[in-house]
Amino acid sequence: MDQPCLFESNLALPAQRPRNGGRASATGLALAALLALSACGGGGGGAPATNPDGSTLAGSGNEPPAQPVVANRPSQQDAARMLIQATFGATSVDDIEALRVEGFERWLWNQFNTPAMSHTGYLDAQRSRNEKSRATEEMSYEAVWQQWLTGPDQLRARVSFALGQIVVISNVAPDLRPYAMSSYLDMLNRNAFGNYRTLLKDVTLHPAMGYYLNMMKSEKDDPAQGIHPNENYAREVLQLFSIGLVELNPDGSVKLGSDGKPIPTYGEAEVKGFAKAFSGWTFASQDPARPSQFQKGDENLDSNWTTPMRAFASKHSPEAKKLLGSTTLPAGQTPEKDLEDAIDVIFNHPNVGPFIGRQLIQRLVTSNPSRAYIARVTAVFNNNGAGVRGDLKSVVQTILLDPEARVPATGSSYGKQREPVIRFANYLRALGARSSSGINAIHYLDSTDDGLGQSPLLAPSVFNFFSPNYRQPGAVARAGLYAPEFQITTETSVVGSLNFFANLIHNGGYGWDDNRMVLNTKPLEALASDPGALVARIDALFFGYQMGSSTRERLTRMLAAMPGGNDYQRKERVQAALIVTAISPDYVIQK
Amino acid sequence: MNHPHPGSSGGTQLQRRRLLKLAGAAGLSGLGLGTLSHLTAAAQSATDYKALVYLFMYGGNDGNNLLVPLEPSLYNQYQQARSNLALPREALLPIAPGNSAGLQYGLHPAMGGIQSLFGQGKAALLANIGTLAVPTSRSQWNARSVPLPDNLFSHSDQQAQWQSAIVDDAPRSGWGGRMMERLLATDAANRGYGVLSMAGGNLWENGDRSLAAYKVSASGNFGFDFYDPVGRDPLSTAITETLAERREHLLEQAWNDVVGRSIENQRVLTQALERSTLATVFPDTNLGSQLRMVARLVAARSRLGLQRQCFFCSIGGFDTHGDDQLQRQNELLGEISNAVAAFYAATVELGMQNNVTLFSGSDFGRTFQSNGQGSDHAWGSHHFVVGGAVKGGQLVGRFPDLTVNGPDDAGDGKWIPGVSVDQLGATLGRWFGAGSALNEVFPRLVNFDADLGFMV
Repeated sequence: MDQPCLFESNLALPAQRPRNGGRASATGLALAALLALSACGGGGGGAPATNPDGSTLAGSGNEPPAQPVVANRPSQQDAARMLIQATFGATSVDDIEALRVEGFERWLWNQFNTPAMSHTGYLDAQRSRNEKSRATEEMSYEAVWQQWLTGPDQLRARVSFALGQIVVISNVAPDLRPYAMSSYLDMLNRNAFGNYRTLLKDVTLHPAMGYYLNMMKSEKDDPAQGIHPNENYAREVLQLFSIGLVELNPDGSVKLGSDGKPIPTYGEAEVKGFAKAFSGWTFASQDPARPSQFQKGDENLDSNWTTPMRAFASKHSPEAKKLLGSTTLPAGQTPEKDLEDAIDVIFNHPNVGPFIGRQLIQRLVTSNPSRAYIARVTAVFNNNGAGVRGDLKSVVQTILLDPEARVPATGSSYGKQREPVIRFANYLRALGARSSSGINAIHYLDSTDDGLGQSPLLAPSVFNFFSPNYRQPGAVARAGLYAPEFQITTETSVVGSLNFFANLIHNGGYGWDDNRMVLNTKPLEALASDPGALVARIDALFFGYQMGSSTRERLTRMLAAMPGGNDYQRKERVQAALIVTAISPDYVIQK
Repeated sequence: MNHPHPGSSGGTQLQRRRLLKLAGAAGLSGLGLGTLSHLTAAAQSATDYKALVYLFMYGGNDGNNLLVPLEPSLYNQYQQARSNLALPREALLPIAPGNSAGLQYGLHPAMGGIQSLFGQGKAALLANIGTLAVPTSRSQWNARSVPLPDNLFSHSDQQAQWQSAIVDDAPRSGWGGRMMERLLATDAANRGYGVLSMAGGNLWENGDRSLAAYKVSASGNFGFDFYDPVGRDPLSTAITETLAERREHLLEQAWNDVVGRSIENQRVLTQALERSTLATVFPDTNLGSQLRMVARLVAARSRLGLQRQCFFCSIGGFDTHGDDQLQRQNELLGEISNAVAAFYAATVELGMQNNVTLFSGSDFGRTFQSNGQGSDHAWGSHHFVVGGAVKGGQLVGRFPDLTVNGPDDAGDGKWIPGVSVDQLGATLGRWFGAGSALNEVFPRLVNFDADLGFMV
């Protein structure tokens, strides 16, 4: 059976270089995983990805695409917009210029071939900070921010984050182990430019998801006890991770039946069928030859959280399983075969392209893509040009190079609200935040009172922080538009989050001790005696050269009204400009 | 499709720890209140004041363990069918509904506060309530011969239907908001404060005309640290101008609207709550803080000058598919029971116990049968209504026959509701004074008996 590469390496490689006197084989295993990562499609430093037929996937040829000739370079504004859509923000105007010179195709090629930062590797390296040398949940959050703030794998991180907002796990009830969360993020990173079918299978068998949505230890029916297989994962993998509740056209619009109503994609019989098909899986450490081990397993064993779940045929529903459409799996198949078949059935449903494609567009480019844009992405999801369905690399490339992404539509609805955590990352990156330890102390940002109302790995449920179909009451809803991020934008959360930005700016950093990320506003202060120059730099780093003229005039007027004769006054000017930026609608809404 | 539960937060230890941590990490220094302008609303004594408080349990509470029959043969049936999820009979808190012909029931062991209110006649229990298009029997369900709610068993849809009373379309408004649109004069001062949420966005309070849930921080943090709305310094001026500029871009204007509303909140609520204090001690929990803020707002009602208000509170974490169901539900229902008991006591302290009615809702119930660990998504469930105007001490509606595949079962112990959300809303709405608008607010009410009779 085609085991995911990371896990296979995990099992196959001996523990290497154990530290602290050779204790803790899990450390070695995870290190092995880190080492193995570059060898299995997580990047590979230029190794081309190929289709089963040997053809080369889009954007992944042996040779990087050529740089554009000078005349064909993207504009400053378009390059800056690409960084807003596809990364966690520019760190300098040099970033923007480098992207112009490189051109989008070559930049994408390089990003596709940049190895992923390892989250479990971060835990391995940091766990000694803990008095019992155990990884902590805080370390899992730090690893996220480490990748976002310092990783060269920016596009992968951004796409992983988008995928992770579809195939959601969260440390809010039930608690997840640090290695479970970080291994899950490694899995998303590994699949971000891979195939959606592999992603679906890896998600399904990952112990973090198994634990979060209770597929782990789900058993066949026991009529005597009145027990049936757990339906949680079966239901949400359909509703949220793949096809949704109703049939879609390739352009994302809802298909209507002859009665004028949407057509459900599945019902209770199908949920039960998938629950049976997914029954019989538990921790990898357990021995299928001993059925009594099924409901057990050591939760303190880190490798149990980084290794795909294992099947117990004796716990697997033997009956036939009704799945989608006319598909019924025959009785008596192995759990592995049923799982492969079930994943195939889901993956091949025509909804997956528009359902997933639309959400990826929403996370990167715009909340309300046109039907034609969705249809173009669906077409590539369905076939990347080399006969492959589900190729995420091609999908991502198509989303970012689509005319609707590259040429901002005029009109009153194009674009999206930048997610609060992405705005925070943008500030830290643009302001050169560094800590003396090289790591960060960014953990819980989900408070709406004094945080951002959003925090990686802390969604309130599998429905994420916001729904792709949220409509903000008022003019947005009346126009029939969606505004997902506005679901966490409330009268209370804007107070909390804007105070959060103001504190960041006034305090000059975030965190404490050696891990405090200190802002370097010196480059901006050096410009601050000239209001126009300071505003121009802020326009580049924060607004992607799209600052509205009224914002420009206001900022310039404000700065001119503030004294700027000494260092302290120039610092005050910079702080005021950064605060107004944080609240400015033309910053908050990317276009 | 709508609203998972953005602002809701689980009542877990973990989250409390997290909140405590955050509270220590950054403090808010409010603005000098002396600089704020006066309330525009004329303070008036609200003699005819009434409030509804919706307590929403996100995730789908397992009502099967909220209310359990104690009569031995029925309890045995429960115990056999629920296997690992059965609560021990002796742990259940007995109640004797006045209308159940002597049949005893037991409340969940963590719900001592509700048990006590029930005993005092200040709480009623609603049996087997859920989303329905029309009254539905098992044979009609099996034959699909009557209209059924869309997307039964889906969290997002069933949350939306419990909050909107619209079961056959993607709802854009809630029944609380629609009711308030018709109860509040269109030019009422502070009209927006008719629908206040302690728990972030929700559909229930969104109206079909202009009302949308106004969010209030349960902790009472309203102020921007960095901005004085009436300040003349360059930064405050720039921010004021930024927010005042009308934006053509809908999302940009939506952002400005929310920030503008938050500044309005700061102005109005800070002043309204200034002298609103309570002697009643609330539990130091997330829901306790939410209900404490509701009680403070009720105390401050004359400063806002509205005669009707809706409040929304929530608690998450009820999606108990896993083997921690019993422990988690015990924690969550305990948090609810203690917070609701304190809330009722606070309304007594304010002399408003007959003017405020709290009721519960949730996505759906959970399967009577276990999945070996916890329970899965189901349909009808049991709920409670609390207040001095409630004809308490009774069981409203018919307790379902707990036979799996029996007359009330849609399969696996998914109870077909005997009472619809519309009936709950309409009964509350009649008390609330919305009697003439009920058929407009609840489009399917014509299919049901419009008054369950549990309000005075």
